[in-house]
Amino acid sequence: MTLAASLRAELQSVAPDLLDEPAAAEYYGQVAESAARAHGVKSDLPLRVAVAATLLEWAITAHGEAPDVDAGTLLMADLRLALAAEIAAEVREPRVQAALSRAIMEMAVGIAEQPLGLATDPRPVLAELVGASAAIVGQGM
Amino acid sequence: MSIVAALRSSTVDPLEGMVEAELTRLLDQDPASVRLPMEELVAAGGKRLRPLMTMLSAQLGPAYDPRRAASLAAVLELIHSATLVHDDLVDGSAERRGRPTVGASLGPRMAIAVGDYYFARSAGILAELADDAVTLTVMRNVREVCRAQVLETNVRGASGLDQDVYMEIASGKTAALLVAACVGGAQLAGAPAAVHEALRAYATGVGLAFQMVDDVIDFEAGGTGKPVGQDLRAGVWSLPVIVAAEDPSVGARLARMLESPTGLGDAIDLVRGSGALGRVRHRAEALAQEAARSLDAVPTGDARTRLIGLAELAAGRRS
Repeated sequence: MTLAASLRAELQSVAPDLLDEPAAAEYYGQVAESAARAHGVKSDLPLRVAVAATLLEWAITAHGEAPDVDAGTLLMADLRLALAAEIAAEVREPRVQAALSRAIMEMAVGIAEQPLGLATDPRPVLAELVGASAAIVGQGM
Repeated sequence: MSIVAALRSSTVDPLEGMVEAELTRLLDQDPASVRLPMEELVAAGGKRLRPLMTMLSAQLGPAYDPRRAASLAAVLELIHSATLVHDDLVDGSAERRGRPTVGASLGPRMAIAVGDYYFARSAGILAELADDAVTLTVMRNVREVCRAQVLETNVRGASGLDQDVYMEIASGKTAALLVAACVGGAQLAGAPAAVHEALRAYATGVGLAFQMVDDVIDFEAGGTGKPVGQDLRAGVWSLPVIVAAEDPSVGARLARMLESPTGLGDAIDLVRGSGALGRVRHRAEALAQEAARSLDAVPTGDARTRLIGLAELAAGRRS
């Protein structure tokens, strides 16, 4: 199974609605695939972080739409932030968890300090997270 | 005596002082845009139940390190505070701990950003602690908190909620973070698996009892300074309502009252007069006693004694 196919299977189990608009999953899948290749990573860590990034993009984008976000969407975004952090915890690599934490904090400050609209496109921040995670694992091999 | 007063007057002040110092140290490092609202919320008080449980549980392990335990305790308090900021926004609450909520004073964008930032900040502090088991325990329980919040919102306004759904929501919404505090604290200090499991049972029981008493206080005049029956006004079927409605004659009258645009006050009076509040309090006390008994499996000593005291306070409080 390719990494992209694995990613879709993972998402099917935690957030199947995200597969209705697969652009984010495909994007982070590609980032993970090339990062894994660049750093010689054979484990599924880049895949796991790509799933987390897909969840985070949905969550941060939903939160960034405030005040036009309903209670159900706000709480679903919270749940997906928590799921992403749980995935990062499952990879048992504190440097990956720290990178995920920094990515969310950066995006949250963006929401706080921009009066209208999301401050930045979350993709560069999250792509950096996926790439950095692969590099961390690659260095440890 | 309120739980806050009881906690403050007990002999745990040194532990509380360590947690407060750690919270101050951590908050000092954050950008002002998110730090100031969180500082205000943290400074306004709160029971500090989760940090205290973390510190006491950590004392049950052979590798107890007060500094690391205080960091974990601060994480639990920050996560709890972050969830409160989002909860208040979802509920449209204007006040928390006698002060304007973040959402009310700074708007929804800031409330969302502050909650997200401090959830992520907590994940970062956990990463610095570098204990995989603790991180997993905390994050799995945070996910349970969020899952319960989604479930509660989905069933809000639905009449005829049953006890199974109530228990599922209370287990996630209230008990899960107490489990994270107790089990995480014990894991951080290297306590054996039997102690983790005893603390998991203890924290689950205390959390459920705490939520049940909260629900009862909501129906008791003067308990919180808020309008009586606030949950029912918000469309939430808390345990006293569910228990009252289990009597078919009360349930039918309750359903009619709640269908009427002017029936809410009568519905609240009906629940208060049904005996349900006493039955729920009795059940909370039984749960707290069971929670205390589950600590038979942990070493005797000051920490265990204080944890047992917390269970009694959680079930016996009046405000």
